[in-house]
Amino acid sequence: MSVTGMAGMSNIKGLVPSLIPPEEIFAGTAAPFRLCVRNGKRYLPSFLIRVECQNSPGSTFPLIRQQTLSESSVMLTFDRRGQIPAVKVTVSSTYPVGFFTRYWTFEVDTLLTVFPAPLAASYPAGGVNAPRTGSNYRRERGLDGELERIDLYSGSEPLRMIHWKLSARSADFLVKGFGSQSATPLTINVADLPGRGVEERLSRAAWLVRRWVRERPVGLVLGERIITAGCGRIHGRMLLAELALYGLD
Amino acid sequence: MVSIKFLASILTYSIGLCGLLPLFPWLTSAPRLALLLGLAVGLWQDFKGNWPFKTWMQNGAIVPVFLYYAIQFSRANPVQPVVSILAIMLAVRLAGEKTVRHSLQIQALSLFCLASSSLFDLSPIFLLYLGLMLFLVAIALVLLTFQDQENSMLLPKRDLRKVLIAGGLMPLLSLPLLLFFFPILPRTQMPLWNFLSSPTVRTSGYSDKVEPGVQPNAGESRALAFRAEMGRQTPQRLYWRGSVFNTMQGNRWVRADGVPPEVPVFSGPKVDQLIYPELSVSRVMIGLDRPTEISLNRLKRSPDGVFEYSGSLNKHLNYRASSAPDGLVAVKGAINKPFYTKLPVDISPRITGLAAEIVKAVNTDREKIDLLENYFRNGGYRYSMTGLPTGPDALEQFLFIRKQGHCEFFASAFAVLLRSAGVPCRLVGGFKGGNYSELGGYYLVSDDMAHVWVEAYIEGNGWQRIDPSSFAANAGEVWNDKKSRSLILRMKLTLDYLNYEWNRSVIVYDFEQQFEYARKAGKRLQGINPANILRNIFPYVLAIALLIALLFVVRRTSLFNRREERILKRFLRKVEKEHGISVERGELGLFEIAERADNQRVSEFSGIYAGALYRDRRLTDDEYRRLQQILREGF
Repeated sequence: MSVTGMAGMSNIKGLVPSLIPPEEIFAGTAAPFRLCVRNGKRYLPSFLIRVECQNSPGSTFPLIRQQTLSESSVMLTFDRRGQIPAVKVTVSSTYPVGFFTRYWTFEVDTLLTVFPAPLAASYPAGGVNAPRTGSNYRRERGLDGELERIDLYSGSEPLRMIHWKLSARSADFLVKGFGSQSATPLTINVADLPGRGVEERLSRAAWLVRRWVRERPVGLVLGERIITAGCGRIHGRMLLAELALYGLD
Repeated sequence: MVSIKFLASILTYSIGLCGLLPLFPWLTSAPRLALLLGLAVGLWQDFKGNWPFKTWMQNGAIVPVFLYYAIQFSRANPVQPVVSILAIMLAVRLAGEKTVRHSLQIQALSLFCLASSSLFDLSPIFLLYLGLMLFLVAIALVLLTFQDQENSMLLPKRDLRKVLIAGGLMPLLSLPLLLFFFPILPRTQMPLWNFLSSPTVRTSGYSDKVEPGVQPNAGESRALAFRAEMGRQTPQRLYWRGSVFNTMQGNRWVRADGVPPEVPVFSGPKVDQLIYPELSVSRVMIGLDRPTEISLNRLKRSPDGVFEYSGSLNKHLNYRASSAPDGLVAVKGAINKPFYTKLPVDISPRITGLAAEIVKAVNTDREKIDLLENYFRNGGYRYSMTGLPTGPDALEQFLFIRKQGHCEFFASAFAVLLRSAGVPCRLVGGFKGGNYSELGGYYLVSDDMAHVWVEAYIEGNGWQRIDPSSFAANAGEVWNDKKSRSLILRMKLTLDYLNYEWNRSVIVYDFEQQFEYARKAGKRLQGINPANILRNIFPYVLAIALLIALLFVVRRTSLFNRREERILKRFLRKVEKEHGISVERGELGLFEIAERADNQRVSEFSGIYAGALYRDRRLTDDEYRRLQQILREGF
């Protein structure tokens, strides 16, 4: 008994779990986390290590060699938006003989921001290219964007648009169709969004940010705070973080 | 990849065999058959990977068997039903699927089976099986823990090796603890399940009567009778006294209850022995002839040197005996001469006539004994275990016709002739000889050494030991000392030594011995002299220190980190201290550290170190010195 007790004790000693979160975590949606366990022991491996975080089903590592890191993935779900400073992780093992389970609980520092659960929304006052339900074609055309398609010459296009090389191979004139580089900025005023209460409006705003931020500049009006429109993932995450933390300070 | 379940199954079968094999010879046919069948069915199902023999069927099958054996259980027959039901339960579990739960049950049942085999025979082989079983159980428990987490778990061979090594190390590590705890944990004065055990006792060896002429051939059992821990003795002294037969009834010698009182006077040096008798039905305690003292409770001592034990014969005993081994014991005062010269009325006149004829010319007891000895020596008598005279006139046949017999004939005939000639005498039953184990420092005496000799009373001298069998014409061949040095015998003695140590240190290790050891240890501790101890252990400490120093010098490079690793560690510590950049090993490259630190010296260090590291070479001495200088001067 003393030997198995010692073996069980030393088995879970020196194990340090860590969690690597995905880029975006939305409330109420399972997000894949990378779960790492480092065995810091100098000589001894650890056997049959089970790691559980919060309410996830957890994962089992049959063997973690000394001075190495083992990885697995877990799906974690957070019910509410906001900042999660730490996640409770339990490292347990029934090793060596399965009569007792020994465990340690860690508070793993994560500093996660959980975005509001996205809720589909249409934006009522979106300017010329406001999104509509139904058709999903992209309509905007321009001269300064990327080459997007080849069309038949209709007679109205400027001559410099004719694709001479391709036209030479075909019987008709073909013209280059460019997209428009300048898209109308979208400024989402959370207060204007439909919904019962702040949480629902924030959820709709989150959906809109996700939907549009890669295609056009998106800005945000959150009470008195106004965030100017911007494009791209990083800007989008910044907006989502604002939505996540709104009213929680 | 190896399946944990497969390996655990193999171990479970092995553990089952460890429990079965020692018990198998003691089982009746039904459990034996069940075991063979259970093993075969289990193996077949495991091989097919399909288990039509479901758990509920197994459990259902056990119930009637259990009831049957429960009815058979009684105080007179407690063991056989219990071991039978254990064996059948094990057989049924072996026949089914080896889930974690069932495997654990098989392990527990196997352990019970092995333990119950000790009710029949507690030899060192038991220890072997127990050791093997505990070793296998330890590994199996570890594997079952893995299986319990995931039934179909597969492990790479490399990982599995680690798991098995760790599992195997556990029982090995617990061995020192076992050796430490065995002597000191409190023990009961009686074995816990003594009530179940009906001891397997020897019925052969010497008996409570001497009756020559009952069987034409004498059986010879080589079973161990007892061991006697003592110094080596001359062969002439190796007579082990058991019982004394003082009365002749018809053709047989028995021990009459009313032993006449006498006061023996022992002179000369004594020989001390520690005797370990095997379990036996006899209550007579053996000692080197002639025992003056035997230290054992509940012992009844008779005036003729017979010690009878009145306690329980169910447990192994050991006792100290002190003996006067010279074969002559003086008596203070007189003895009851008529008692020791009495013969049956129907004694053959031919025998009494022979006695009168032999001793007619002499008067003293001493002379009569000498003449009778001469008669036997020159009479052409042969020692033999076969072709023995039988019938009521067996002694007569022996003396006058066949002239061959074993010790009972020689002793019986000699005693009858002595009594006919008026010399008081009695028969002594015991053992003669013994194989000395140099290894253990004890005599090993087996049943085939059982012997009967004569004690004759010589006026003025006392009781004189006479061994008439040694007068046989072929006595030299029978008790040839040279045969005892054969290789087989030496091997047997070595094996017996292991058995003896087991007996001495495990079987008979009870509360009394534990108390005795504790008392002795306490006494020794009182008389301890620290200076003496220091003086005694100093050479060992010195030798160990020298060995460590030697190891330090020879294996310095492999025992300690290389200089590259050492200097890197120093560098990382310094970077953390001076720039607050904490680096877990392998997380941040050298150049990344340099970039973060934004320090020229850190960059220089990184450049030199990485120059060697990434070209897969060691640092040159110049580089090493420069790096040391950078670290010394700081960033």
